[in-house]
Amino acid sequence: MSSKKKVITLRSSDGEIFEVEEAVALEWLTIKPLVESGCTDAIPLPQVTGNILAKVIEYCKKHIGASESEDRKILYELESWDADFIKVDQGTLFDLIRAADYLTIKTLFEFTCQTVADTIKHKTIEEVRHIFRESNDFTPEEEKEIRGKSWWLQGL
Amino acid sequence: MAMAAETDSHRVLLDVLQQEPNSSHVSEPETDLLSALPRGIIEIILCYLPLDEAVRTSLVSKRWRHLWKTMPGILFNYKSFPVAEIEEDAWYNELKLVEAVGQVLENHAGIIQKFVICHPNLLFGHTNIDQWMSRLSNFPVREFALCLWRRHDCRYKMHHSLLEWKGLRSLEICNCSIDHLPLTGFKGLKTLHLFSTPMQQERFEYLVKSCPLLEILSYSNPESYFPTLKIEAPHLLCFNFNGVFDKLMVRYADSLTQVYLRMEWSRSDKSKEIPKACTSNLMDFSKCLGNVKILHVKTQFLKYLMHGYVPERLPIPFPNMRAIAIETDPTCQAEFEAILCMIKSFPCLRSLTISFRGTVEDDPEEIANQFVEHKQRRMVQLPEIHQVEVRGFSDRFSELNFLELFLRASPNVMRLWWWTPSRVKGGARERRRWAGCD
Repeated sequence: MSSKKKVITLRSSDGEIFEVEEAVALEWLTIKPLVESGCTDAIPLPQVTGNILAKVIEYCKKHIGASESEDRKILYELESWDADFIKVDQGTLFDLIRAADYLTIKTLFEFTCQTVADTIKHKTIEEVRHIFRESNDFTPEEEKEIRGKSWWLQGL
Repeated sequence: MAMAAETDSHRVLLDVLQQEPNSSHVSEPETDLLSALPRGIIEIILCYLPLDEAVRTSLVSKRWRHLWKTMPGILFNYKSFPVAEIEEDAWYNELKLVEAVGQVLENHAGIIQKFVICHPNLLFGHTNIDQWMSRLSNFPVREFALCLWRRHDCRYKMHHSLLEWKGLRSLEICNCSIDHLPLTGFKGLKTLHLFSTPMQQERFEYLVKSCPLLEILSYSNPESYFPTLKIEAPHLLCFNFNGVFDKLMVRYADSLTQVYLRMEWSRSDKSKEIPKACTSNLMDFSKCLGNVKILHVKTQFLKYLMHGYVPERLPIPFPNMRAIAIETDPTCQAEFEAILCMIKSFPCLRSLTISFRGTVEDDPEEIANQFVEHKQRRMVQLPEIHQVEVRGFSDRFSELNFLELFLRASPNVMRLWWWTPSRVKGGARERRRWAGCD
């Protein structure tokens, strides 16, 4: 128990240096082999910017060990912490998804994908278009055809 | 780059890490989803939507039109196709469901890895499911769930194509019949949930044994009776069982950390009485606990455990046990003794959940005389317990009496959760003060 916790150094695309505990880095499957082999140099992560990497580290630090906790209070707190954490603009949310995918962080990837799905759940098509910044480029005939094929769709 | 890779595999990994971000990765303000994320990720996001909403995205724009056809997971949520109260509506809704499933399977142009149907009932009969399953055989299905609730009288007879899905990782079936299938096991299966799907003991044991990678196993069929249930699964982490056995033997399961047990022998045809194969069910059962961290003893399983000899404490302590949840009748002395025996044998127990059963009004006088012996001896001390949760509390005298004993013995409780059947009661501190442990 007396041994000092090992620290892994990471470098973001914009050259920022971050330090994370080894236990956190081991959850990132993409860099796990490097961490396990005892790599001591800064691991370059050219696809993640410093501000996104900071958020990713913040999330993983908070979640390490806590998700398996049996303590109800910790789980409740974690849930509301998550809700605050994900209150970000769409651009940041997409960046987080890409970072989680790139670094293979399962929990963060699932959480962020679920968040995107939730933003369009129970919305009208018009609202979904607005959220995704799409415009309706169907001709009325095409739209009718799709609706005809999938007559079972609800809330059209 | 400054980083010096030590081995070839390092170099490969570093090369991968350092690949220049491609154009779609440059985030601009005001980007749309399709430009912001790779297509593969969008397909995964669609899987988090109920099927109707995922298919509905085909109406967003031309770019979105065919995206759903390659989503890797298909989830039929019954909420999208609700069962109506009026029978005519029910038929219509089910027609929609069948049409939807058919259309999705027909038009799918990608790889289906996950297929989940949860539906209360299927009035049209089961030929549709057979067709869906044969169609699914064309895909490398990894996760499959078919949960049909109700309709106990007529279970869906599982289509034989299930046996050919060699890549299956997770299988969940509810209200199906698999007696006719020559089960040979699934070499890669990690999760197996069988609900209301009756099996013979030998077949069940054989199935578990022939899924060598199994990590999570659930079997729930309260009517099942297994005289001596042997579980052999070296990678098992979580075992969840609801049924009747005389004796449970868990062997070669050193990884097992979570055990959830329920038993309602009154519902089993073959066993009307408390199973009694051993002189002490509790001591015998404790042989299965090895490295278990979380144990749930629900419905009447405690009654099973207290049958026979209940020692002061178990022959060996279980220092791994962290949390237990027990359903008990607070007026029953023998159940109380069995709980005590377990708690004394779990020296590092941190969390205790008690659910109260029974609603009969107590006789305060009788209750006051209960557990007198323990009250006088100040019971055993439980300094490790940090969290106590009380469920099903209905303000009966017996419940208070029961809790008082435990809370007095646990001086380090940091949190007390108090659930009543209708609402959560606050004022935990007042309760604690009342219970006299502060």
